[in-house]
Amino acid sequence: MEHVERFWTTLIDNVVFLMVMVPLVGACLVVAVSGFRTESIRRTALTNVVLTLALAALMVIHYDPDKRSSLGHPELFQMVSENLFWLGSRTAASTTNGGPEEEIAGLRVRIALGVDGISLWLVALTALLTYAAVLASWKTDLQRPAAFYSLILVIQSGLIGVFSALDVVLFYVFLEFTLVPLLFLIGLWGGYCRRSIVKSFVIYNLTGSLLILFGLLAMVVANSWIRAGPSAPLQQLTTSIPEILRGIPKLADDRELAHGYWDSARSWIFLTLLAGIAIKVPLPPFHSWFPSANRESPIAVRILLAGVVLKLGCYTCVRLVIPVFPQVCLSACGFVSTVIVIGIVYSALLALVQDDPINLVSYTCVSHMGFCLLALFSLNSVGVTGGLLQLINHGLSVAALFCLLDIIFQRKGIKSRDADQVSITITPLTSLFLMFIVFSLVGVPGLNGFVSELLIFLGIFRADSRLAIWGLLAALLLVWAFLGMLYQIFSGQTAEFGSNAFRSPRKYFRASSTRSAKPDPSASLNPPNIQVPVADPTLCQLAVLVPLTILIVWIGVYPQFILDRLGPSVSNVLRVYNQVSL
Amino acid sequence: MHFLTDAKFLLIATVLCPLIAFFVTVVGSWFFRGWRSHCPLVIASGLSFVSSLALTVKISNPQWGRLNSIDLKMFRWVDVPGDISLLVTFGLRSDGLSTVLLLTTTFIVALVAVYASKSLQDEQDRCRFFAKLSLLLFATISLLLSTDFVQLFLFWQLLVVIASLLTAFRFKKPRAIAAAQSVFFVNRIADAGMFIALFLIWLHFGTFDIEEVFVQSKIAEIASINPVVISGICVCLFAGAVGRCAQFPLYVWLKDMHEAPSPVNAVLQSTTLMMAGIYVIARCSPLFAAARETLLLVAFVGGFTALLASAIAVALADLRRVLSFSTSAILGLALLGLGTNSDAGRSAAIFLLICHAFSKALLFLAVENVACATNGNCDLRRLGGLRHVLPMTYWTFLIGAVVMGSGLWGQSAILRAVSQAAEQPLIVSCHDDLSNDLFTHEQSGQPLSLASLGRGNEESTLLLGYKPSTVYYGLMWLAIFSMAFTSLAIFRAFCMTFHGVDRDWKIVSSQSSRSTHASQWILAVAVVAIGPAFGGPPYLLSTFLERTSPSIFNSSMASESGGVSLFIAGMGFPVALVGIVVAWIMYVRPSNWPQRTRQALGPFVRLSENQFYLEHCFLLFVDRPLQIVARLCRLADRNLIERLFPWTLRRIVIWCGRAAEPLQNTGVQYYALSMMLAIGVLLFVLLWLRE
Repeated sequence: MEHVERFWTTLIDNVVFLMVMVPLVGACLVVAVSGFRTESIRRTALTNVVLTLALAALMVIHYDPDKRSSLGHPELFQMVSENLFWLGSRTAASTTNGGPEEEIAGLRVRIALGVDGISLWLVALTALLTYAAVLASWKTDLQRPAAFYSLILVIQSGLIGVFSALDVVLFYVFLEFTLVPLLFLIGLWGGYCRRSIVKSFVIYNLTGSLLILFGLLAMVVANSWIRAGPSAPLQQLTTSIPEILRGIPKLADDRELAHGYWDSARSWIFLTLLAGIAIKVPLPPFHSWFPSANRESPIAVRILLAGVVLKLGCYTCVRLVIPVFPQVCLSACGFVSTVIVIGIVYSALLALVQDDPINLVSYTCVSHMGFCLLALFSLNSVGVTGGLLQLINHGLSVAALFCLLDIIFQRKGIKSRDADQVSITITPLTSLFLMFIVFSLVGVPGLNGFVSELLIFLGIFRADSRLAIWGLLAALLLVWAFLGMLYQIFSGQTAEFGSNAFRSPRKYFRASSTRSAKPDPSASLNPPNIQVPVADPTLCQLAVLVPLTILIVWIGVYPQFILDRLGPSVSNVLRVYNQVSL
Repeated sequence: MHFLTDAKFLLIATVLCPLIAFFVTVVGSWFFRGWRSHCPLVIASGLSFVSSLALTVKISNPQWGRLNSIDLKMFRWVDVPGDISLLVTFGLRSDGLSTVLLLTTTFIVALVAVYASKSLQDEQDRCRFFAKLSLLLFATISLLLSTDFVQLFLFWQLLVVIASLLTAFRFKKPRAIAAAQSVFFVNRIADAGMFIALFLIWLHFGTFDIEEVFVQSKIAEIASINPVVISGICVCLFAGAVGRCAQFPLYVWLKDMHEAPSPVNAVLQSTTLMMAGIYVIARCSPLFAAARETLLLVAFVGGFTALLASAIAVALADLRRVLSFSTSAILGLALLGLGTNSDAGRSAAIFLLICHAFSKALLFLAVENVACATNGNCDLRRLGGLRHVLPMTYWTFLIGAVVMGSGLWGQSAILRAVSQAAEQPLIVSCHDDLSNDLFTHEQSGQPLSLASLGRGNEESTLLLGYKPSTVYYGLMWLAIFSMAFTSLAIFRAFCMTFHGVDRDWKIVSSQSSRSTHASQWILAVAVVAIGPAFGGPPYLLSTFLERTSPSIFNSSMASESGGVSLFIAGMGFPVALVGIVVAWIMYVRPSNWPQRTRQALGPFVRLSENQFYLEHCFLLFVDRPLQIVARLCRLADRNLIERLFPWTLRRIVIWCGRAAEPLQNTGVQYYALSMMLAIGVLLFVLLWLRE
């Protein structure tokens, strides 16, 4: 019994580390069974993904937001495993027990992983959406399936790593770790114009990552200089994220010398990081990599790309920018928010005039992510909580939406671009799911989108009401875009996508409004001749859609479960602002 | 059995019955195809009706004292701690106002459900209809019993979503989907206003709890600090109500409601959806009372829409559209009543709302009978002579039309309230002492008089630049014309459908079954009875509405002078009679009168037929520019922004390469030189760092 108990506690303590390692092992396993049938490769991948999902569930259950250390301090980072050295001198490490910690020289990078209330949900989201990605691409014919699924698993490991990394170097390594498999997945299994798309994808994302790397390294160096003063030799480089978070704001305020140095350096570091984040989010005008990459990706990658990879920018912002640069954020938030709002309205306008539903959803994603970033820069607890909740909600909804669009448009080989004179008849079950998902994205009450939109807008209003009014306008444009999409799909006129989704309501208005005298003026509204039925979702797709829908409803009805766990971590992020304003 | 009479149990039962019915319908339709899917809703709405009746008894019990509401806190929905905290608690609270509307809603929904069980018998997926209707009832009840502004807003929006889903019931028709779309979108625009109100309340009151917000001293304090705040909240709240009640700029969505089945219209237009707007304005009367200029806005928009919508209704050719726009007109009158800021006006508005709810439900059920008999044809010019074919429908329609168009049931009371307001001065709160003065007056229930206010009145008159009483005088005339037009429109529709040319009707299918008959007759009896019973001498409604907290329907001053009868044959009746008589003369027999008037009033008729070209204006001034901007954005995005960043990056790389190119010239001496230089620089840097 005792062994079981000890095993259990060890498991719980290292669950995050396991969640990074299990997909990596799984990727190797998938490669190992590559000689077998496709079916067995898929099953191996699925088993692995389900195992990770189970670990994620364990993690969520055992996370205690009110946990306190023996000294009574709140302990937000939990399930931390940081005993593994990765880079740095071992001798320095061995002196840890003897001398005080200050004297250790050189770079120390540990494999430090752990979750707080913010990353907890993003890690869980990654586990869930990889499960969705594997199942959604179950029936698609793939060449080299072993390579495909192992790359998917590698991405999963990388994403979980980014969200749970407690070390700057580790964070960056995992960030790149997600990029390379994505590059291969789009480049090898992508659509018609994948070659050119991959090029722009790499250029944008590599630039973004490099900017973030420069910013992070500058932050690490600055941290050590603030500690020792710039004239001292580089004694100690702390790369641990919690230490940096604790150190920089406190030290920068305490010492006058450090204060002066930090004053000149911080805005440059902030700008570098922000530029990298703007590419990752993506914020217009750096957004064009996302819609094109999303259009050409296979469904599994689309789910991961829009569902999780898009959240990296906002996560970096809330983890490494907002708590470290309180003064800069406060002084720059007006300008930054204005830029973001312009981006939101711009991408919402673009969403209105898209030809292809996938493109339309991509542009709304850009807009939604802009909302998240805007909420983070409202710098109050309501807005930040809303923004983080929206990250999760949007991930759930958009993954389900892409899965559904895949069912609707890909099943019978209809490409929306050559859908001239073809009309689809949608089945009740598919339309039910579609309605749910689109409604959750436009913020219908009772579903998850409502809660996060409410919090986001209240937060933004509190920060700057003019921006919030523009935001409301953009939200209305998004509703219009989504309704246009629903209208096209339900009325079966996919041919209309070829011309313009936006025109449809207007056309309708024109047809029906003017002459009420004529009995039936809408000859143009009769559906085209060729009917293509859309099949019901298969069992695999149901296994994706049903859990996602349940979660969407559950968060909408009882959001407090998530907010309870999010709350302390958010107040921890914003703690420095209370001190600054004091 | 003692818990059955417990107030809290009753509250929960009222809310939960429809929700349970929803789940039972969904699950049932999943497992049994073609079962009696209406049963859960009928039972649930019946139970809700019974429990709200019990609540009514509890609330009207004199033991409860003056301020009485039944209160129940349920759970924290959202609780964000931190520098700026946000707490949303869900709960249930019932008082006079909400209970009386609860009774109306559950009663009508139950009867419509009974009716629809027969009329939708042939529909393949009628369980979808009943499931959505259950959810709609749940949302309405929760809205009426909300204790928190966020809760109110949540159900307020949910109502529209379900309404648009119900509108799209026949989703095979693209126009039904488009109609649902416009219901959703137009109301969404209105909700943006409501949301801003929500935010302002949070910012200035620091709470979302309705009862805490309505504390008079708090409102007065905030108004004294910044008087614009309360006005802003009220205007934004009103923007939401304008969408729900289909008032002037946002009545666009009403036009296509006939794409929905008539039972849906019977529910949406009578109680649930369109009632919500009036309810919220009435509920927020304490706020509106503190910002009287917004009440003027409410009254003006209401009166103006009443005239506009009734003028539209007169000219429309579709029977269902006529009824829809008459709804808009009558709700405009109700808003006008709320805008008078008198207790009499508010009571009259609620009375009108209830009477209208019953009659409109009855009329739409009659329309469904007509549509079934004529195979969906509701074009008035092709109808006629149906009184021989559908005798029962003829009588029920007549009853509904008389109640709605005669001015006896509520309209006259509104007129009287408006005329009283025209006689009384309206004060715009421009001085603190003045507004305090007003509050004390309101609390003591004393009538405001010119003498007691004296100087303030003149000042406010000067401030506004016009006499408010003149405005109400003008609004009274708007209301009079609107009533004449409404009765004209309703009776025109009636005459053209049931009298007029006798056509040779071959009945396709008829709605003659016991349950449809029963539900229609019950509704008809209720429609007739409700006026005298509620508004007449025992003053049931007024005394009951008094039990609203905070007290906004104070009828004590009226009852001293012998009670206010809401059910009176005042000015309204003769006015309405004119409309009825005109309709009778013009349309009861085939004649060339309609043709002649049409020719005489050509441009006006076209204006009315096209709903005053509001939609075209929307297309021209909002849609078109937006589309142009969006297309320009797309052009810029494809040609400029998509290429800008990679291009810049490539340029930078190429430039760097070009700049470094001369260094790689295979000259060993250059390499040596650059090495030496680099070492020098490094040494310098190190030395500098040492210091």
